[in-house]
Amino acid sequence: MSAGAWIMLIFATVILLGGSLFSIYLAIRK
Amino acid sequence: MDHQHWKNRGVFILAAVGSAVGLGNVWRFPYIAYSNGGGAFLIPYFVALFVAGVPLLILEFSLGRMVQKGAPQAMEYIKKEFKWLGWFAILIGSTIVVYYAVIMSWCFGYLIYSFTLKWGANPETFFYGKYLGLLPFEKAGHFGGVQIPILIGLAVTWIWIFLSIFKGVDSVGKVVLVTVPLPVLILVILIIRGVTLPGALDGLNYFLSPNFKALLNPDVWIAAFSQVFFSMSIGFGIMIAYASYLPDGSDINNNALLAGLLDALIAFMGGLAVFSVLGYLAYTKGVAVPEVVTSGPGLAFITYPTILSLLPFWAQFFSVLFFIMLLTLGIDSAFSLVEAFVAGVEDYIKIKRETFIAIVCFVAFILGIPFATRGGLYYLDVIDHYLTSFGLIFVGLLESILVGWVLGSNQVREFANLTSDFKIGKWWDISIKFIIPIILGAMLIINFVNSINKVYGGYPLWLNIVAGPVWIAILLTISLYLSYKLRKGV
Repeated sequence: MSAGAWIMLIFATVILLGGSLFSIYLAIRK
Repeated sequence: MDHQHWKNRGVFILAAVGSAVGLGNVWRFPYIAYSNGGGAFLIPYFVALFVAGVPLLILEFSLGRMVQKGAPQAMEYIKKEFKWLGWFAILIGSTIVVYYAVIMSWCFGYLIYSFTLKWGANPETFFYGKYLGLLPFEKAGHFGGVQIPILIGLAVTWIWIFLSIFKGVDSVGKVVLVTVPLPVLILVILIIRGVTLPGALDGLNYFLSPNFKALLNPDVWIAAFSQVFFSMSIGFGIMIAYASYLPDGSDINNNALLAGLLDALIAFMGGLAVFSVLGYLAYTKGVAVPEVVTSGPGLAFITYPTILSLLPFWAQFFSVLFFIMLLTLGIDSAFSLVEAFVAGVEDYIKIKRETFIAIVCFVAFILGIPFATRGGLYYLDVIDHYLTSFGLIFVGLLESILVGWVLGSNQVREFANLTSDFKIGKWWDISIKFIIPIILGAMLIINFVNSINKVYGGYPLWLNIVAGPVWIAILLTISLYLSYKLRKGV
């Protein structure tokens, strides 16, 4: 895989997985 | 009838995600990304997700929680004269579920065939010739005979849908505990299997390598907004109905964000699962990856089975997993469409909910029989094109205008902020009042111009007219009639 492909893979994973986990954190912190 | 409530917040999110996530996450998103700039497509896709997808989910969740009824009553709440729009939304969904159930039936058939890899050495001939018994293209518009295996699968699908929703949120809440996590788990297994095959990284390279020049092409941005819009189950009244079962004080904004992100995450995982094995197929055949890239039913019922047969071990096991994944991905979307219809009409029915749903499922099964014929695929293709390209976008457009300009986006935003984990700012108003109407309006105009310039799919003109404008006009007429006849308000 090209460097660009790896970067997009990491970029998408951070946004989607990170975003989902952050959203779950917001929901359960109360 | 007592208004039901979800058992807890997690169940609601699972149900909303289950509805949004469907076959399109696996067979549409990867192809759209690949053909619109590869990895670079993720940028307009995320922009569309946060600028249009999540705001529209917030809009529908807010309406549902405000009115605590289905889509017709929600539209009536905004403006009495627009109750028909709610009926139109759920009638579009009701039409779609009639043929969506037929695709589920194909998945059932292929699940059974997986145990023996019955599609053999030529999955294309098996799918079109033997399984669908498809009439030649020149005979598009004819029905031919009914395909019995498809009919049996259709009956099983409708029984499954009935059992999933007959007790309302109680039964839906139990079903989604299995049918939402299970396909995600299978997707993870298929990704692991995919990336450990030779050629996989080459396939993923085609999916993820960014072509940033594509971002200058407006078509790529339209494709991103379309993908987000179609993937989120917006415009069917589903999210309004599901949110109507939320108890007072429930969060709206964070639920919408999580549902949107999980839908996108599962689509992205679908891309990894699909392109890794496409790379393997290209490697096995000794051709370039673009030569084996497909989407839609062709991917699920021809290309993927071809790959499954080529797997070095446990081919049957992975085949069974793949079709269980498709079935569990699809079933939540299917029954959510029926639930949206039931939520809209339950105020007007005098019989027990279970009996009513049984009647609805039976009628939908009967209406689906034409799609189970040898010419059914052609009808399915044309009707789906017009309902999604015009009907659904039209509903989304009017819905955002009504909330933005008639009800007042300010009022809805304040309502949503009152009970949510985080507050949304005035950017949401801008999105609902300007950005979404402009984009959906542009999509509608582009689709209209394309339809005028070229008859869709090369099908006969009469078939396009009957399955397109005529069918939409019939749904509109029924919607107007229902809103006039059933005046009981909220």
